[in-house]
Amino acid sequence: MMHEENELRRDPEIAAALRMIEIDPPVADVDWDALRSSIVARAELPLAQRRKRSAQLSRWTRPLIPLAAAASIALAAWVNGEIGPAPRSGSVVADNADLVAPGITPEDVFQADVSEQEFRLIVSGRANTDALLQLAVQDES
Amino acid sequence: MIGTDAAALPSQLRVAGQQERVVAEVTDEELVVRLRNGNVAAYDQIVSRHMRSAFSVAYRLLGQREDAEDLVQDAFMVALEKIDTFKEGNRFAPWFFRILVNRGLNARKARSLRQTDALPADISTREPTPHLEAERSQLRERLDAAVAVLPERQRAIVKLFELEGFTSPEIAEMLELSDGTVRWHLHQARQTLRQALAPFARRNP
Repeated sequence: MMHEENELRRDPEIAAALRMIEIDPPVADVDWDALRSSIVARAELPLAQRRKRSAQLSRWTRPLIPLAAAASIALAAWVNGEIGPAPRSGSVVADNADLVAPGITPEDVFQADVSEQEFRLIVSGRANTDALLQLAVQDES
Repeated sequence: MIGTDAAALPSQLRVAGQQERVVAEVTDEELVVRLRNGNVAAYDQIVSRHMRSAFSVAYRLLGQREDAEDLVQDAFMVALEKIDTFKEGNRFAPWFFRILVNRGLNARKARSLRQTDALPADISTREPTPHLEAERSQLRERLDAAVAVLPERQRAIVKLFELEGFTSPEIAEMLELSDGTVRWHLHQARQTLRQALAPFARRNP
């Protein structure tokens, strides 16, 4: 509303005076199709260059998309592994319940009398799990 | 005022080289996105939309049909060259008309260095009215002189406002001036022209 009130009005007297000395643009004399064609024709080369640049860009970026996605997933997995909460023994039991003999708790396994070397093998995942479980069971009995 | 040319609409409903489809709803800004990737149809569309009003403005600035056509072509080419500088979220038309008007003013300045600005050729042949011809000719002379002494920008502003129907904020956007400055220029130009008209107004109350 304020804007409309403040809007300047045209001055008919000035407009009429200007029209006396100014000819209206001869829009009827212009061949619009020719003008448009001429403008578009002049733009063909720069437009073709833009298309080429755009195609090159997409050719380079297309293989980067899956790579970037894979890198993101790897980074996310690594970051979770590094700073995520340490798994509690209970959750390990739940995940590996089928590997543990019935009646044997993880505490039993960890408290089993194993040598330093065997312990390292367990932690690194290279130990013979069956043999270790057997050892733990024997120790319990 | 700045926007799609109503007269150009029918021809813009079809996009060259593509399946027929209505594109009148596609905004200039959407066309600019395609144009950046070198889409010819998008450029064609933008040219169709704005060339008529661009020609009118160019003609007001230069007063010659051929010069105006050249200026329109030149402005569209420059717009294409600079399209990457067009900021998303802005409107295309004021950005384009800024290029047109600035180049028009420069062309006019360059021309005035080369020669005294010639009056449009057919003024003298327009609607001869023998009864008032002497007085009108005198009036035209005074008005011509008054318009000629206006600074370039003031002249452009008064023509764009009074004859082309642009609003003061639109002109401000085109010329990268504040609305207040445009209004001030308009006021000054009107005063100059009124002074030129004053003797005739007294003679013909």
